[in-house]
Amino acid sequence: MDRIRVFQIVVFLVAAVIIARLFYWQFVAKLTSNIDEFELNSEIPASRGEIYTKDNFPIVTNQEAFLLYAKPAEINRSPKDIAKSIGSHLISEKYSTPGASLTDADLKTKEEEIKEKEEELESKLGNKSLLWVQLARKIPKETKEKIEEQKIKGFGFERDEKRLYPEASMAAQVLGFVGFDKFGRDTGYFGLEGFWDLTLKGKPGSLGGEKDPLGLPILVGAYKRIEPKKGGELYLSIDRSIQYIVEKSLTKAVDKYGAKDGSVIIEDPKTGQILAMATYPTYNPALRQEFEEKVYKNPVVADTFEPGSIFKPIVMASALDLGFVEPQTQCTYCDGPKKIANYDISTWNKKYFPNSTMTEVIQHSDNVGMTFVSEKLGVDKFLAYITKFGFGKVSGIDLQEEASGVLKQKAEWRDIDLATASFGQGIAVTPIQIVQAISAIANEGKLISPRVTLKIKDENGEKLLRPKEEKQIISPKTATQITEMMVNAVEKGEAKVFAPKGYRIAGKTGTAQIPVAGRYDPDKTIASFVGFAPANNPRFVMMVRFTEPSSSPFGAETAAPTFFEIAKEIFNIWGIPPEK
Amino acid sequence: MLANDYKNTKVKNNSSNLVGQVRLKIVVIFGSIIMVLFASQLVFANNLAAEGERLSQIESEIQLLEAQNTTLKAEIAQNSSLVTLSAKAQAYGFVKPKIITP
Repeated sequence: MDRIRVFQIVVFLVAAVIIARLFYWQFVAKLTSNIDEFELNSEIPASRGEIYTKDNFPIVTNQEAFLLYAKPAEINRSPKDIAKSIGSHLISEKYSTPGASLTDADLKTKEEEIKEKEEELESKLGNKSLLWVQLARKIPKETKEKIEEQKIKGFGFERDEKRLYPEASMAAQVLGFVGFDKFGRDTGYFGLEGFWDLTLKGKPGSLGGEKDPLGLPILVGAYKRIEPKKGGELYLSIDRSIQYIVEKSLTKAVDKYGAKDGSVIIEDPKTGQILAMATYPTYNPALRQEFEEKVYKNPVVADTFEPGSIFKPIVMASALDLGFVEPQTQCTYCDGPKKIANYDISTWNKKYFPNSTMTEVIQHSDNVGMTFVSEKLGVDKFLAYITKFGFGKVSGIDLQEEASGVLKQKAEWRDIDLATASFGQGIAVTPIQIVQAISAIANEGKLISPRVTLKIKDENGEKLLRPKEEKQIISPKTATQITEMMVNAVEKGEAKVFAPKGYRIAGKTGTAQIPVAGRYDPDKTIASFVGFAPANNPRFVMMVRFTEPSSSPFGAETAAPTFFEIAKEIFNIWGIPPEK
Repeated sequence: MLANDYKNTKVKNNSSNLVGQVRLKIVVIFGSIIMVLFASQLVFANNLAAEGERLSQIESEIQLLEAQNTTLKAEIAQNSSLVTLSAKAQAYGFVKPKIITP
């Protein structure tokens, strides 16, 4: 009995000691500073959604990348030595791109960048008061492996994704790019990346719980994992082959005509789908820091300009639709310049055609004839129709930074403003608005707002996107009439020598003066051409625009030949035979 | 009288014993259930604690496979890009035909 009693007392004492020790560690010693080591609280980043072209090619995808960090307190080598050994791996990727041909100036810049990077690294690594410091983000796997080979104590890597552009600079201004916000999180800027940023970024997950000293999760504890939701994937209407051809032709043309820049947009008028959209000069989103920021913007949606004569079919269509003119209506004062207030409205080449029909007014691009049409319309009807055609407001295309253009308030319109607006001067529009309006003409008078994204796919399934707006703005009869006028303009107008034989193409040239400090520059122009083909059953609408072409200021000699060259390629790709 | 008293006392004792026995059985049963549950929880917690390592291994494998998948997708995309294909076509001597009849 005594031995049992003794045993009982011993067991009781041992238990009491253990409980007392546990009490001490939990409440007296207060291990708050070490508790974090045993907690597992981390965000699981979500993968950003990819972007696909019409043929399901991933024009924007993700690649494995890493964040490099250091714990300066654990580093046991000289920060200067470490900086020298890894600095060259952490500079701009353009210097390490295979096949990159570096000029002497590039090599000099490279040396300067390496030196700057080494100084930055030395400063961060030498600061022993820092527990943790980020050294570089989005470094590719190859660079990570090179740094790992150096076996630097105190260095570590975290997984990070990076955007990859398999087609390099193709459709750069349409796609946009991914940068950082002020918190260092991936954020889309410009184009689709900017517009669809919330959809593309997904939702990060989280991992909460406890871990043992080896870092393994203790599942008995409050282990909770919330899976990240991958960002939605965008499926575009962009046709990769046509985009490729457009970009090649545009680059060649901007160079050939000595233009400051150029843009081409191609849309399917029946659906509002954008098949191609290109601007030159462009940039490579993967190396965007090497380019000036002004090229990030997409001028097709963000730039306003005075359209000039490519606006004439829209004004003419408005007057036809109201019955104020017919194709054979004759202009009563087209035999010379027209005086309005203190201004003389004259033709672009000072040639006048008395009793011109409306068809001939478009053919000759006659400013006096268009003044005649605008007088028939009046300000109210003019504004009502160009608003119906989508001017003065955004088209709603799914690209960031779309501008609405500039339309004066009704009360501010004078007679001279109405006259000049009829031939596309004194109003500011965007190229996408022009394409939208001409597409309505090509689509039997039905306007469909343009879009680039056809559908979004995420874990909940597929979501087909509809155009923002679909409405009949002119009658099909009016659309047919203005189409014939535009076909006539191509076949008999200034650009007829460049038009491909056998095809009926509806189009209009434009040579718009550029306003500078309250007046028009006498030498600089915006040369453009807008049209659609085949005229009887339009498969595409295209607009070509050059800013300040130096070889010739006229749209008929620069934008029109580029239009026809691209149109011929499209006819070949789509197997569209000649009609006659 | 005595016999009756004796009988009553005996009956009373018998019934107290019965109640006591039932109570004892209930305590024993509940106690056993609690011990079994406690023991099960210990066994379960012990097994689960060891699963943490296995889970970590599986998660690492998944991460590795996902990374490999991402890399392969990127390689396929780059090799099938029009930029790459047109450069290769040129290198192999392919030229654009001068006449195309749609």
